[in-house]
Order: sequence, then structure tokens, then C-alpha cells
Amino acid sequence: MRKAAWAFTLVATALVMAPVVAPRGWDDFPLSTYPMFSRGDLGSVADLDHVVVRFSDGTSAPAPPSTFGTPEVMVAMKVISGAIARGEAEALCERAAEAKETATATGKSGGRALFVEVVTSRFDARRYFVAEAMRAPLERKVHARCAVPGAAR
Amino acid sequence: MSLRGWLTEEVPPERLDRVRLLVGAYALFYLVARLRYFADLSKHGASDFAPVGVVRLLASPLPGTVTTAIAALAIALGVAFLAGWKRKVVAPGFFLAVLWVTTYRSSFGKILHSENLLVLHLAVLAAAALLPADEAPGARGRTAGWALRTMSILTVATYAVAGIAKLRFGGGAWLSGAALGEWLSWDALRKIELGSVHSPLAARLASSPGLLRALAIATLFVELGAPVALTSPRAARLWVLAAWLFHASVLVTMAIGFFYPLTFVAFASFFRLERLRAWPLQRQPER
Repeated sequence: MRKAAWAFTLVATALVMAPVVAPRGWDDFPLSTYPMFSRGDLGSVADLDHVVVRFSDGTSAPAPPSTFGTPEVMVAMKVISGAIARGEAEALCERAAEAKETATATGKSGGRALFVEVVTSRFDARRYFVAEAMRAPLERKVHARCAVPGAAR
Repeated sequence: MSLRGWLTEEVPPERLDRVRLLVGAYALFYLVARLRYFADLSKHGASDFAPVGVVRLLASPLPGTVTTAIAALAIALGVAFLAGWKRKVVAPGFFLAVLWVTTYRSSFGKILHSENLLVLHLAVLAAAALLPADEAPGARGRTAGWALRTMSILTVATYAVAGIAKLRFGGGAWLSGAALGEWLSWDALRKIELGSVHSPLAARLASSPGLLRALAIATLFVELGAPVALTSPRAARLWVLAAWLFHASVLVTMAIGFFYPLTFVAFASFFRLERLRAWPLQRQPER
């Protein structure tokens, strides 16, 4: 038992520790450098890819992660970023517009969902939390805009 | 105690059984609670497919019916693992099934790091089931001691690797608390804009440089100091408490729940669980 046990422990520990020499940005599963939050040069201004639902009452709301088939916000973000990077924002937009999450969403004053937009917004995180009025992005690029099915009724 | 004796220390077999039950119950609950997301990933487009780990064996995503069947198989194996059935077959099978479904789910652009340690622990429990249990008097106790020690070693290794990454990639900005402040703000912002739950404390904390620095140093202390937990049971208890507080503070300030450590299941291998007299389940013989 001892030789096999020793070998397993040594190999497993070496595998788990090996990523400490991996290059920046490397990640895998179940072995990892656990790179989340390790960056020290993030700064306060950064771009975010996200999806916005526009309502008939003039308000808007984010499309929640479940729209993209996941409860995880980070997975949703990657799905959106991936679609934009591959030039598939239109297809993602259609998918979000047809999602039941969008169909059942309502604006702050009860408005119906009219449009979905796939966007990249540049935010200043420091400014964002000073006041509600400061939450507007510094810049916004709309990659795709599509109507919610049945919204014209 | 020699290094050899330390690694294969004889411990009551009940200790490993209880850890197996805890880890198995957690894994099974996790699979069932997230079945919807493990079973059918067809909502992700094929172009989102970015295989990692063992899923690199695939060139394209599997049909939803196949992933659903694998997730159901993982749950069935989890039940068998908890029941203690055919351990030499079921324990490795359960490990492989959980490895597959978690890796597959992380193969669509974003790797979820809350599942790594659970998978590593299941690997050790699978290996323990395969090792000879009764080759000599006391051998079973040594197998249990080895498995628990190895689980603890892998636990501290994952924390140490995370701490080293922060120093390597964050460096001085991490030590000063500046990087943590930026991450707190940015993480809360993106959660708001992506329609998820965020912590209202994040922004307040991000504007408190002194507190940020203290939290950043405490984080590195927990992660880089993790190997201390292997030196004695008392050190282990203190480190586990510190690690739990770290995860609790991450939950409160960033709304990120690492529930495997938050439930203490991730740290079960550090404790003499056989001392819990009110344990409702008796040790189950090999079937």
C-alpha cells in the first residue's frame, strides 16, 4: 500500500502545485492557478460586454445569466464576450430576445420588453458607485439590436 | 514522527468513512441542485465550446441527451457512493463522473473554480477505495490516515497556489490593497450590469484603503500560510477557522459563495470526526 500511496500523494501534489510556474492567463480544470482576482493592474476604467433589455416605459434592465443557460454571472459574461468576439452578436441578440426571461421581464413602471441590445460599455468603477446618476457608461458600443417577438402588439 | 509515519498515520477508519459521507453528500447535493445546468448545456452554442481538462477529448459538444444521461449517471453513482456499495468500482466511477460533468460545464468559456477542490478530494477517496485495505494488521487504518492526510495536503496546496498567483500577477498592488479595491468595485459593477446579485458592502469597502490593505494581507496570510495547517491539529483548527472567515468575508463583500469550504466539508479531513458521538450514520461495512 505504501508505495502506491506515496506515489499518488507525490504526483497529485505535484500536479496541483505545477500551475505556480504556468504563464499568466493559463487556467484549466481541475488544476488551476486560481487566477480570479489575481490581476493587480485592473484599474478603475474597463470595458464590459453585456446585454440590455429595453422596455416600453423607457427603462432598461440587464438580461440575467439564466437567459444564457447558466446561473453563473461569469459564465454569462464569457458567453456574451465570446459571441461579440466571433461576430455572432446578432445571433445572441435573437436568442436573448426569444428567451422566456425576456418575455416575462417588465420595466420599472411595468413596461413590456421591446428590444434587446448586445453592447460593450466602458465604465468607471470608481465613479459608478458615487451616485445612481453616475452609473451611465463613459462609452457604449451597440453590437446588435433586435426586437422582442410579439413586442409590437 | 517520520515523514512516512506522518503520511500514513494510523487513524480510526470511522474518520475516513465520515469524511467520505460528508464529501459524498455534498457532491450529490451539488449535482442535484445544479442538475439543470449540468444536464443540458445545449443553450450554449457550439461556438462557445472551449474544452478544458479531460473534455479536450471532444472536438465538439455532446448532444443534450448524452450530457443528461451522464449527469443522471453521476447522481446514481453518488447515491451508491454514499451507501458504500461496491466501493472499488463506485468510488472511482463517481469521481470520474463528477470530474466529467464539472469539466464539461467549465468547457464553455468560463472555468468555475469553486469545484476544483471537491473533484480533487473525490480523486483521493477513489484512490483510497482502490488501495488494499487489509494487507496487514492496521493497514486499513493507515489507508484511512493516508487518504485524510492527502486530502489535507491537496487542500492547502490549492490555497497556496492561489496565494502565489496573487503575488506573481498582482504583486505590490495586491499587498497594498489597491488591487482588491479595484476588484471589489469592478466585480459589483459587472454583477449589477449582468443582472446578478451583488454585495452592497463592496463599494463601501472599496473606498476604505486601510481596511482593504488589512483584508488583502489577511487573504495572502490565509492562502500562503495554508501549509501551516499540516503541522499540528491545533494549527489545522486555527487555519481552518481563518480560511472559513476568509470565504465568509468573500461571500459578504463580493456575493461569491464557495460553499464547499463555507460548509466546512472541504476541511473535514483536518478533524477527528469519529469523536462526534451523535453522528447519525453507523460505519457501513464493505458491500
